[in-house]
Amino acid sequence: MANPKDISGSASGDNTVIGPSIVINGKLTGDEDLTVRGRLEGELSLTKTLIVEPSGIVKANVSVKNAVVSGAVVGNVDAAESIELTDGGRHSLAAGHPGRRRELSGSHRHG
Amino acid sequence: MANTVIGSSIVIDGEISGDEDLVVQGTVKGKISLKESLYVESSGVVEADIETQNVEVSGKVTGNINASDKVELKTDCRVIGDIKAPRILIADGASFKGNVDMDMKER
Repeated sequence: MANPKDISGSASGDNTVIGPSIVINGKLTGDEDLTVRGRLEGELSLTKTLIVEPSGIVKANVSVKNAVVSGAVVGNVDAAESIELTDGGRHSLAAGHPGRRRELSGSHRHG
Repeated sequence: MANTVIGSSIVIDGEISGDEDLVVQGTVKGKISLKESLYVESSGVVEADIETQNVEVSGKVTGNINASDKVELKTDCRVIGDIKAPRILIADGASFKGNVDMDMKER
């Protein structure tokens, strides 16, 4: 958890990274791995892996192949292959959204 | 270097804001507002209004650019839209259609 690089497992500079101060509001689609350290709201669909790092917040309907969640996800997650919720992360929204209930629901299809 | 990279296969339709550098290798439509620098690489396509400190374009931009410091249009870039910035560089080979406003009244 201390080193976010551990989660992604690859140092490839070609992957898409949403940095901690970035906020994206809208629709994101793509064919590559996506690492979220900032905030993403709207709709997200990828043919590869979504990695939500501890600082990352995703408020979106998510459709991916694999998901690794160490941060917060609010919305439906539809993964073609796997969803991993790591124990290091906080699966709730950060301070500043008091009273907001965590939700991680929808069609979780494993394997 | 930059923390945030939008990879070449990524398409974003919406609004991006933040306090750090952003590198676009993919496609962004909508609006980009940053406190730092935007780099549109040669594979990058931006159809958005841009508000940043610095912009460096090697790819395609359609939309108005408003930079508080500098706009740099590199060789082989294509930019359609108005540019407002105190410092503007247009390289040999860059293609640009639009107005330039360097806000002379401040000097």
